Amino acid sequence: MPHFRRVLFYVFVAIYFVFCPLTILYALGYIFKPGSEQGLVKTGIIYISTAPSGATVYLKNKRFTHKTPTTLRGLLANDYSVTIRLKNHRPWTQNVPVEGEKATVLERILLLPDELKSEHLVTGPFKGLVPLQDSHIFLLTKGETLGEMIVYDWESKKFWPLLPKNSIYQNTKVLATTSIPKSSYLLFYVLDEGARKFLWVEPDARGSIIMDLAQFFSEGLTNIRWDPAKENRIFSFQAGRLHWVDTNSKTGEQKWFEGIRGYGLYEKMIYVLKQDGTFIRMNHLGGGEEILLNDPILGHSLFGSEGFFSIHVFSKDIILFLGEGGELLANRLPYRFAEGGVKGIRFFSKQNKVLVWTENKIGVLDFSKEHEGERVFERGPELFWVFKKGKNIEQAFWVYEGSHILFRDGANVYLFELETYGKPHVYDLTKVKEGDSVFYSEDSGELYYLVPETKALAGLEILPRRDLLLLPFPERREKRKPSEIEELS
Amino acid sequence: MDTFQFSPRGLASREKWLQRFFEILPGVMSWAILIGLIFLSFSNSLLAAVIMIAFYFYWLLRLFYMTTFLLIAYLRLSFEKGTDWMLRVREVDGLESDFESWHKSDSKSDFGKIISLWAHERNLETLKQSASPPPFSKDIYHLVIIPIAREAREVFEPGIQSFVSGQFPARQIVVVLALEERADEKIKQDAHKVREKYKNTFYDFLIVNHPDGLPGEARAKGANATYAAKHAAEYFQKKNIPVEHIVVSCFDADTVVGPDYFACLAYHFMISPDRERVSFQPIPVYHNNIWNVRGFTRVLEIGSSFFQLIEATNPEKLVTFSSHSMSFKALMDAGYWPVDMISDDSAIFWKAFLHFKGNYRVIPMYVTISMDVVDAGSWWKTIISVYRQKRRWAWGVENFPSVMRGFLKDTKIPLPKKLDLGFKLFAMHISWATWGFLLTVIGWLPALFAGREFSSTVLYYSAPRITGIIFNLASLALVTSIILSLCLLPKKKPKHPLRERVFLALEWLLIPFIVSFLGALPALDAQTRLMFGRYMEFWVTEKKRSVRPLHRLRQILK
Repeated sequence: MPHFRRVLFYVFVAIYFVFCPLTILYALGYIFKPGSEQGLVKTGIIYISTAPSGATVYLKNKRFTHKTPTTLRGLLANDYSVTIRLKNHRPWTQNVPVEGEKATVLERILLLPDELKSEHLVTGPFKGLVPLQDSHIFLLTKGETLGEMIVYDWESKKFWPLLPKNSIYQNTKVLATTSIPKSSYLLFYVLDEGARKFLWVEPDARGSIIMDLAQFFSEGLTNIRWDPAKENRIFSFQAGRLHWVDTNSKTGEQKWFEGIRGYGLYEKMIYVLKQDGTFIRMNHLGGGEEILLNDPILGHSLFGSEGFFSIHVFSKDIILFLGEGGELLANRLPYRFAEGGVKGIRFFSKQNKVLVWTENKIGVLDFSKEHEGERVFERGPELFWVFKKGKNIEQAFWVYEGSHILFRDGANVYLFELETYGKPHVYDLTKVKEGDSVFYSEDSGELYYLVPETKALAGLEILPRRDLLLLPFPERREKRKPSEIEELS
Repeated sequence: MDTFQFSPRGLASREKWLQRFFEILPGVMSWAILIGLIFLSFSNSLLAAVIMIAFYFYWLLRLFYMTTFLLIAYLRLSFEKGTDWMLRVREVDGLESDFESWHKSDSKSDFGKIISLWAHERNLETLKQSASPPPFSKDIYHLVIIPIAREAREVFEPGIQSFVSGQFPARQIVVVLALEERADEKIKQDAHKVREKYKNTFYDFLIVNHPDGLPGEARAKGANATYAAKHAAEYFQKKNIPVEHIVVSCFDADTVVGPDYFACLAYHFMISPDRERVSFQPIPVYHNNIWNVRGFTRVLEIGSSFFQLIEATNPEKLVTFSSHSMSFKALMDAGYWPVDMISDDSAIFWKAFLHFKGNYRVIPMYVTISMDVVDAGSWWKTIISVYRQKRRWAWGVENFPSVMRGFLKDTKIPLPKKLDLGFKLFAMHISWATWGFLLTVIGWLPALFAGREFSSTVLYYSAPRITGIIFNLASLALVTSIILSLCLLPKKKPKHPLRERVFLALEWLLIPFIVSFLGALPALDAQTRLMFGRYMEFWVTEKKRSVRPLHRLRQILK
C-alpha cells in the first residue's frame, strides 16, 4: 500500500504540474497553435448576448453552432465580421476587434423584429402626451383643461380621467405641468376663472386628490420642485429668492432664502448655489448648513455672474448644474462639460452615466470611467457626443440597461445602439406628430406614443418581454396615504 | 529517556515563547489565506482568479486521490467483515493449525478473503521474522476505560453490553467507569447499578471517581481517563497482571463495539512485533442513532467516518482519533493522556510518538465502532451542538504547538519524518479552516468584484467554465461518496425504501453548507481562540437516545 500510495501521489503531482499551468494558460486565452507558426499564441474571445436570445452567430460567414448568449473562444487577434441572425428579426452585423487575452463583449445586442408591432392601447384622439419620469403613469390630454386629461397607468394598462366629472376644476385651463422623478404628485399651473394659480394633485383612479396652493404660491414662480423623499415641502424660485410651502401644515414662507442662483433637492437636503458663487447644502428647514464650495473666484469662473442653474443631485458625489442657456457643469473635473445648448439630461444610476442631449447631439457623460490610469494631470469624466446628426432632438431615454438610447428627433423616434465597436446601428422606430412627446418605460420595455394619423395611444415593444426578467426588479411603489391632503374636488 | 513536557502549561520561558508562537501560527496562516484572497479579489481580481483556478485544480486532484483511498479502505473494510478474528488469534497462539485448510477451502472463491488472508499471512511472516514472541491470548487483558460526566445510562450501557456480546472472552476484560465527581447523583447511581449488573460477567468492573479540580488538571476528558488509568495500573499490579499483556481502550461513553472488536484488537496486538509501541485505530462510524437524526448531521458524520477510512490507508501518518486502543505499557511509559488538553485522543499519539523518539505508530483496524450522532432535540440546538463538537475536534490544533516544540527539542527522530508529519498536521488544520470558505464563498469573489479591467479579459469568461468543469468532475467523487454512504449505513426497513434512499442521497446536497458552517467555521473559530490564547475546556456533546431495549444493540451493530 505505501508503494501504491507513493506512485499514485507522484502521478497526481505530475498531473497537477502539467495540467494546472495548461489550464491557467487556457483560461488566460493562450492556445497551442500547430503548423508552421506553431507555439503558444494569445487568443481573445467574443462574448455575445442578445435580446431575444437564441440567435445564430456567424463569424466571417461561418455559422457558429451555439446560440446566443454564447462565447466565441480561441480567436487570434484580428477584426472579425460578426453577423447575428434570428428568424423574423433584423440581422445584426458588425466588424468586431479581438485582442489577445481580452474579451470583446457584446452583452446587450437588441435584435428588433423585421416589422415593429404597434399595439393600440387607448382610442383617441388625444392632443398630447405628458410623460412623467420614473412614474408608472403618464398623462394624455384631449384639450387644454384639467377635465380633458386622462391618466394612463402603463403597468396595469388602465386609464381614467384625472378629475371626476363633478370636479370644480373640470374647466380649469392648464398652463404648465410639473412632475418630479419618483414622485407620485403633479403640480399644475392653471388658469382658473381668470386667476392663475397652482394645483397640487395626486392622481388616483378612485378620485384624484387636489390641493389649491393659491394662498401660498403667487404668479411668476419658476423652477418649482419638491423632494420625492419629502413630498410635502414644495420649493419655488423667483428673482433670486427661494420660497417654500408645506402641504401638510399648510404653511409657507416667501423669500425664505435670498441671493441664490440655483437649487436642487436630494434625500431631504437642499443644495443651493448662491449669487456669490458659494455652494451649500442644508436640510429643508435651513439647518445643518454645510459649505461645499467656498471659492468665489472658481464659482464665478464656473457659473458666471447671472442666470439660474437647475441643480441635479444624482448621488452624494454626482451633482450636475444645468444653466438656463443649456450650460452643463458638474462637481467633477473638468467641471464644465457643455458651454450651452443642453436641452435635457437623464441619469442612469446603475452605471453612473448621464444622457445629455442638445438640439442636434446626444452625448454620454460617464462618471464610472473617471480616474482610470495613472496620469500626471488628473482627468475626470468626459462627455462623449455619440450622435451628432440630429435636427430637433427633444427627448431621450436610456434603453436596455444603458446599452441603447431612444430619442425623438422632431417627428421621428430612433433607437441608437451605444455599446458598439464599429459604426453604431440607428433604427428608425416610428413617426409621431412634430412636437408630440413620447414616453418609454424600461420596466415595460415599451414606447408609448400618439399615432400621428389617429392620435390614439399606441405602444411599441422595444425590449422583448422575456428579457425584462433579466433586468433588475422595478422599483417597488407604495400607495401614499392621502390622510393629510384635503380633497377639494 | 529525558522527558518532554507535552502539556502546554507550566513551561519554562523559552518553551513558553515557542509554544505561543506555534499556537498563533495556524490561526494567522488561515486568516492570512482568507483575508489575503478576499483582498486580492478586490485589488487584483485577475491574479485572485488564477490562484483560485490553481486551487480548484489541486482540490479536484486531492478529491480524486482521497476518493481512490476511500474506495480502497471501504473494500478492505468489506473484505474483513467476515473475518473470524478469534480463529486468527488462536492461530497466532499456535493452538490451532487449521488455518491452512480454512483458507484453502474458502478463499479461492472470494477475492475479499484472498486479500484478507494475504494481509494475515504477511503479518504472520513479519511476526515470525521478528524476535518478539506474542503473548498468549489467554494472558491478554483488555482494559476498557469509559469516562462519564453527563452521559445517561441509556447512552453508556449499550456499549458495555456490546463488550459482553463479543467473541473475545469477557472474563479477560476489565471495565472501568471513570466517573466525574461532579456528575449528577442519578448518573452515579446508574453507574453503580450497571456495575452490579455486569460485575460478574467481566474479569472485573470498577468505578473510579475522579475528583474535581485536581492540581494541574483542566476540565478535560483526558484528566478523568488518566486518573482511571492510574487507578487501573495499581489494580493490575495488585493482581500481578503484567502491564505488557494489557491493551487499554479509551472509549467515549456512547461507543458500541462490534462483536469482533476485542478479538481483532487482540489479534493486532499479538501480531505486531512492536506491540508496546503502537496504538490501534478502528473505523469510527456513527450508527447508534443514525436514522433518528437530522440529515445534515448524518452527512457530516458519514463524512467523518470517510475521513477516518481514508486515513486508515496511510498508517505511516495515521493519528489516533476518538475511541481507540493502545498498549497499556506504552500509555504508562508515555505518561498517560494529557490532563489539561481537550484533544486527548490525538494528543496521546503525539505524546507517545515524542516519548518514544518517533518509534511509535498507529495500526489501522478494519473493524468499526459505532457512536452517536449529535442530537440536541431541536434543529437549531443540534446545529449549535454540532458546531461545538466540531470546534472541539478542531481544537486538536492545540497539538501542533506541543508537537513542534517536541520536534525542535528532539534529536533522534529523522528530520524528513519531522517535516513530513509536522507539515501534514499543520496543513490539515489550515485546509480544514480555509477550504470550505474558498470553495463556497471566496472562490466566487473575483468574478463578483471584477473591475472593468478584469471583466474585459478572457479569464473572466473562462473561469466560470473551468470552475464548472472542475465542479462537475468533483461531483463524481460526491456520487462515489453517496453510493458508499448508502452501502456503509446500517440496514433499516423503511416504509418507502426508494424514497428514503433518494432523500438520503439528496442530503449530500447540503455539503456546501456543511463544509462552510459546520466544517471550516468551527475550525477557524478554534484556531482563532488558540491564536488569542482563549483556551477551551471540555464540553460534553449532547447525544440523546431514546431509552430502548438492549436487544436493539444487534441492529446497531449490523
